[in-house]
Amino acid sequence: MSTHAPTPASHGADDHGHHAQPSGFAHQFEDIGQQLDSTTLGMWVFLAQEIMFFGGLFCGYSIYRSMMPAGFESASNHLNVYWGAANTIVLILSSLTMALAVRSAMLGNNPAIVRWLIGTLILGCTFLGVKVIEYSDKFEHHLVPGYNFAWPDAATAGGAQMFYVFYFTMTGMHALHMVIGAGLLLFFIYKAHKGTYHPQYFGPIENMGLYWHFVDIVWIFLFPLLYLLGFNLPAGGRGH
Amino acid sequence: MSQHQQHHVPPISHYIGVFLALMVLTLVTVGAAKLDLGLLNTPIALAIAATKAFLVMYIFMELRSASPLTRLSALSGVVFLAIMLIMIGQDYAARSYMPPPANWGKTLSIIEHGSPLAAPPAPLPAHAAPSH
Repeated sequence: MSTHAPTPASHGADDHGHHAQPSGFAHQFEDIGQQLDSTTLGMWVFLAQEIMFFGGLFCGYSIYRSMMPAGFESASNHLNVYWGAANTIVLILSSLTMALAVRSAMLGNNPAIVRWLIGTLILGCTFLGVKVIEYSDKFEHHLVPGYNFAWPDAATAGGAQMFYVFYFTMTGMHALHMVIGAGLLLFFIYKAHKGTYHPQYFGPIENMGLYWHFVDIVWIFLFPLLYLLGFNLPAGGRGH
Repeated sequence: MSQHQQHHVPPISHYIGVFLALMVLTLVTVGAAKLDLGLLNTPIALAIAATKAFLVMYIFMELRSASPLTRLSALSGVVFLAIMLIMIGQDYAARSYMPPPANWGKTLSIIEHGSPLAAPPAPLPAHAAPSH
């Protein structure tokens, strides 16, 4: 990432004015514009791979749900829709603050980047805090597969346990992405605090935003598929 | 090499508008789930989620102003996901119509004794030595 690495003499006539390149320029690129295009493209290819990763989980979910619809519905009925909806709102709000951080980066306003990223970090931690409340509730109510799963209705017990396998796997992988994202946010808060970014060099903040929005999109699909299945059923059985 | 127009930076109100649209769609999806629409519940929920995902990708992730190559790679993830879901889905959906062939799972015995379709497998003598 060093910007003004000395160019070998062999570069000679091809040297297209490295001293005129703005800070943040990596010398393997032709110019800062090509650098931005390349890093954005690379990030999208990474996200395409992430879509396939989560896609496998969604695929397994669909197949088991089609096999055990009753168990999935009654198990979903035990998730608290209001915690889930609140977390959806928190996460979309964090996407807004993230988008505004990228906007500030495009304008080269480093103090504003720091403020919006701190807001994003706080909202991300709020999301994870709600997730802790929900998970501990599942442990208390004996809804953790392979640990203490207990279900009153023998006819739907298998499907319900399968639902919670997918619930913990999918929300767990999503939460892991959130934790990684929070770590990245800390790094970029530090970099922005040092005044790294300017209107020609904001690619890293933009890619941070792409990652964060992707994690938001995963939750946008997880929320209806996990929380809202049995919402129209009367709350029955144990629990609420 | 790369387009060098100054990056168009939308006003903040633009982002707030998208955020409000996402909030409304979240409330709509919760409200629609409260109704008993039978088989339609899940397609409606997925359609709303896809709309929200499109808004996030198009505005927040700036596909609106992205290069064609970037848009294509964003689309490729969705296309390959669709291929995976459709092909695995049709496999599972068709299994009840087309039972597996009778020699399913007997690959090992085919290797050892030849295909049961060609000739009925002869019972091995008790102390059969492996023939070469």
